[in-house]
Amino acid sequence: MRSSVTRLARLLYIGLNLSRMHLVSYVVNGLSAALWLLVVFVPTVVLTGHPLHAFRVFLPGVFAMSVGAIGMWIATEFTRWSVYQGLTDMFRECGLGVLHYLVSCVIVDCVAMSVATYFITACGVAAYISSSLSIVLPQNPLLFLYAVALSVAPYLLCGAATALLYVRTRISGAWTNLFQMALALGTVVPPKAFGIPWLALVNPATVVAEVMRCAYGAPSIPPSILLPLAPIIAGIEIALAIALAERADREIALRGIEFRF
Amino acid sequence: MGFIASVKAVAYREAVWFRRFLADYAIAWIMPLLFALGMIFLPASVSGLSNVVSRLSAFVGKHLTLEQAIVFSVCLSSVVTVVAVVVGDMSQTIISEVKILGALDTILMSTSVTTYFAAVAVVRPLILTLASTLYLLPPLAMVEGLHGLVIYVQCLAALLISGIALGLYTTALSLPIAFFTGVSRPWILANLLVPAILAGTGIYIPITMVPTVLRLLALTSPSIEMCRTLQIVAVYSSLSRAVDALGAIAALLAIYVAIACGVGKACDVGARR
Repeated sequence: MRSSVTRLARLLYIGLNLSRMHLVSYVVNGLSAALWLLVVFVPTVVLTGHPLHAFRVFLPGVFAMSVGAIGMWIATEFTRWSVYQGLTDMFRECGLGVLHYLVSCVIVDCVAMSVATYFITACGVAAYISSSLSIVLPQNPLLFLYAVALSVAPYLLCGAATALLYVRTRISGAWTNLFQMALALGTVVPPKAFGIPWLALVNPATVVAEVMRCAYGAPSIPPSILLPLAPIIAGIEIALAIALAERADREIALRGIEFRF
Repeated sequence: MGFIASVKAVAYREAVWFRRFLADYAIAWIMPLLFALGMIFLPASVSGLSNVVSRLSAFVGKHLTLEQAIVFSVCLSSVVTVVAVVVGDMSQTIISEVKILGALDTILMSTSVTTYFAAVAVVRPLILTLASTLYLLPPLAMVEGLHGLVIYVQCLAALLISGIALGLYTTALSLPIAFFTGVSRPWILANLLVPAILAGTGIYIPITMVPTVLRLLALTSPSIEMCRTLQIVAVYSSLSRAVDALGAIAALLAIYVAIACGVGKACDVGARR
């Protein structure tokens, strides 16, 4: 138990130092993501005709989708681009693998970046559609924090699944652009649009989106069932992520990994 | 090596390179289609399809059917593609060629900075714009039939002119950053400039809704006029109605040529020294 805690602490320390080396890139990428989300979601929110309601429905979905997408990009980085710089090999020489890299990026990439990007985007959308920024703040901050904590699970699962895909195939890392779009179903596209809202839970990030919608008072799935169910789903997702990441590691051990763009 | 020879050399390089970027092109075709459909069906998931179509109609000032709304949305999505591909790719390439790849020695030995980057600024946007907007053809032909081809050709004409203007705009901006600043990561300018211009253009919403800072940034590029041209082509399918917007793009193009040549000259002198 104690050794696993120190191991986790070391991984987080490594992640913090790696991200400190790329501070400028992080700032730029966060702003870039927020601006892209403005390009996509301001027209969407405006075209509904009920901007405030649409804001509360879509923006939590944006958070959940971006958490999953960040997981996918981190995995792409580990199995594609960082192979060239030797980072992947360095991790593997120390007995670490896909899951460890994902965990090392949890604080900065998953939590800090997604929350920061979310609030910049939300303030941006608010600047387009309303005169006050107060609509950005959640009605229930505790549920908001709950959603942020839950977001680690889909982050790990999406990352592990993407890593497994990339170590098994030779496709270009550019395809992550497309895979992340699948995450929009159930998160940005609200579960109500599916007919049976429960169907949307197939998407691992839906839980996060729904809990955050509860925080803004616009849920599709009744909160009395959703809130107790959420940690169970998150637990299953983390277990799945561990299994998939192990398979990805075994795949690298068997066949090796070479740099592709 | 003169300008024409440089153009030939750059065109040859682009043709040889083309296959390497097929995956990127496939994504550049699928993403804007998803974007265009999402622009209609995503708001519809909250307030219904007819409501969204009537709001779009109010925006363009003419009654649209669902098919016409889709055509409109798909045509406008090409603004996103062209700005993202031309501005993003060119600014990244210019900065990495100067800072990382070390192409400068070859350029200075065989020609001048101005000639080389002018050739790149003409050839690459042409190829990138043409190749990245091929996706317009199938949906337009499917929804509008033969008339869709007419819309496509008009869109393409407008996009090619704006593409070259965007290429020169990017060159004028990226060259001083590559030569005279310490920016060492090639994606920094591209990642900020592209979404900032697009957010400032406000593509599917009235430009008056866009916050002033973003609007001013977008006004430095031809994207707003480009967007207006495509809106007119998509709704009225007549390029001649958009002649004032095209004139504005041409005027901007002339300004960018002048700035890019001046900047190129300064960079050439600085580099040789």
